[in-house]
Amino acid sequence: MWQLETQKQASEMRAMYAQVLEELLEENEKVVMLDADLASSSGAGHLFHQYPDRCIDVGISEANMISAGAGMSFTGLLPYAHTFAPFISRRVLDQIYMSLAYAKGSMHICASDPGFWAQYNGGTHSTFEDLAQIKSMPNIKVSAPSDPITYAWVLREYVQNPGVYYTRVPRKKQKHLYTENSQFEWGKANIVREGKDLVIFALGSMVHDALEAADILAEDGIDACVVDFLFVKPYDQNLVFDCIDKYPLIVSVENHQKVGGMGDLIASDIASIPQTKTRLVKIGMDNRFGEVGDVEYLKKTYGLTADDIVKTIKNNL
Amino acid sequence: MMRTEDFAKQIRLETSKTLLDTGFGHLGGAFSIVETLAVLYHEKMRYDVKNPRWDERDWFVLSKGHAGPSYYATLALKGFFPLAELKTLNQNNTNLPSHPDRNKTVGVDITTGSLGQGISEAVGVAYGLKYQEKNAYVYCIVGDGECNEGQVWEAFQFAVNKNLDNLILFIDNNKEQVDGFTKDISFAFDFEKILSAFGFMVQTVDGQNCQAISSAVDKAKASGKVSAIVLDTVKGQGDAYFENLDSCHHINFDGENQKALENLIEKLETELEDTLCGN
Repeated sequence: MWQLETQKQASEMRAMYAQVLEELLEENEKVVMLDADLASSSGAGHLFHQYPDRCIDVGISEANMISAGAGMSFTGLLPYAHTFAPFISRRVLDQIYMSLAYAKGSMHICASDPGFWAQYNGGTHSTFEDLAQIKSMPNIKVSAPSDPITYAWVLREYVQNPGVYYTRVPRKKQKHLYTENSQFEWGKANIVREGKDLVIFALGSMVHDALEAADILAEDGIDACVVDFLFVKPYDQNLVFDCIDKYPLIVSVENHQKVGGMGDLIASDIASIPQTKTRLVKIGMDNRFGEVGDVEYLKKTYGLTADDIVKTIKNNL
Repeated sequence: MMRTEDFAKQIRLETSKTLLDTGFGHLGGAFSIVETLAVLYHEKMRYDVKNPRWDERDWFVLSKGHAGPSYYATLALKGFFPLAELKTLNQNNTNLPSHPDRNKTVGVDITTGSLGQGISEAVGVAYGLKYQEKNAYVYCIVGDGECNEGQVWEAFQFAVNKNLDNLILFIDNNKEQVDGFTKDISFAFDFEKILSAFGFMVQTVDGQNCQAISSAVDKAKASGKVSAIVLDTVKGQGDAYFENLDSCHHINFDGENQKALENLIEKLETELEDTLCGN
């Protein structure tokens, strides 16, 4: 079971990646870690010196990293593979498809800095379409952890239940949403704030913005429920169905294109209920590319700030 | 024990019968690797047909997955599954799809078909085996046309950088790809030069000569180096009619093609019968 963290604390997601991988390398000799020349950016660069045979830098060759990692998994190893989100999603879709998902290999794909988290790397490195692409394939588990605690749990889950995992996270500091020993259930979303007037389904780091928006709405007497969606495949369809008809308005908030993201999953569920009066408003990237800037600027530019969420909700209630 | 050359004839015969039954298929590239398959499965590889995923086995990766028909014929002849199953190639609900599938076909280690990925999977397997101190070899056949794919060169870098001396790479240099000769469509690599430059220990052999292939494998193993064997082959290898077709990558077996394949089957059956009778 999970509990909400009451203390204000935040830590780097990449530090959690390094901490968990170090523990796993120590605990399980089948675990190996791959990177494509971004080990030094992953937070876990030091482990490549500590475990030279088990931490393998393949150089700037992401396609080879995915397929070779699949090959390693067929010999019984448990590979984690990291690089920036664009290079480990859209660049290697066919490798993920054939070498891993179709062939029933195993790998935990760790895609860092999706969406606006690409910041100064700009439009070329921005990834707003990975969930649409990846979740359309069978035999892949997809998640977007909202804080270091969920990230650690998701990373560890792979060793317990090997398969193909795709996890997208920022590398930077995130507030701790849950207490340290919280446990989660794959495919189950978490209601992190109760509310009766509407429900916000938020994904990844956007959960923090959704909670901030809910605080602002509360000042105006609007009581918003906030859900940390967490798992994109499989996702918590039961919770979505529970919310339809219970709330007049569902709002989806994601650092991803509106097309093919979490919002579209919810839209399909709403469309399957005849005569429901529940409406969906999607907040996300509106069919545009990313650009260079800091996170604050980019969120403002794309309409993804807490204030933008508040405004959209007020316009639709 | 049957001579490897005769086992190669058996593979070519069963491949031909399969393709004739199916009515279409990838004959050219399947034929060009027949002798190599014969050497590997008849002489070199360690495997157990009763325990195909045996922990101590050698691995085979057909990176040029479209050559599936001769791979399947080899596996069936060695007893991984009944010969009769070859008739199901590409049929509805078959275990023998056009391209090898480790989850469908008994004896297939690695799923391939999307070109370039098989060699990467092979280097990953080789690394995994080496790290786990398994004394096993990984044999991988890459097509010359397949070397158009950038991923192949990524895998070569990895193989040499990680000193994968348990990998034996074959390049099926049959000089053709789907749309024509590699020299016209893309690039006719000097594989000996380029692979040597990468750091492979390279040997070039006549890909129709079982003894030459066999010696090259022995030499590769003895070298203790990351090894590549360039197979000088012909698409449609083993039959003059198909070797001389403008393209025999994927063909329908009707009209002249059907007749040629029937003739080849008859010829191979007679030759094998004579061998068995000691003539």
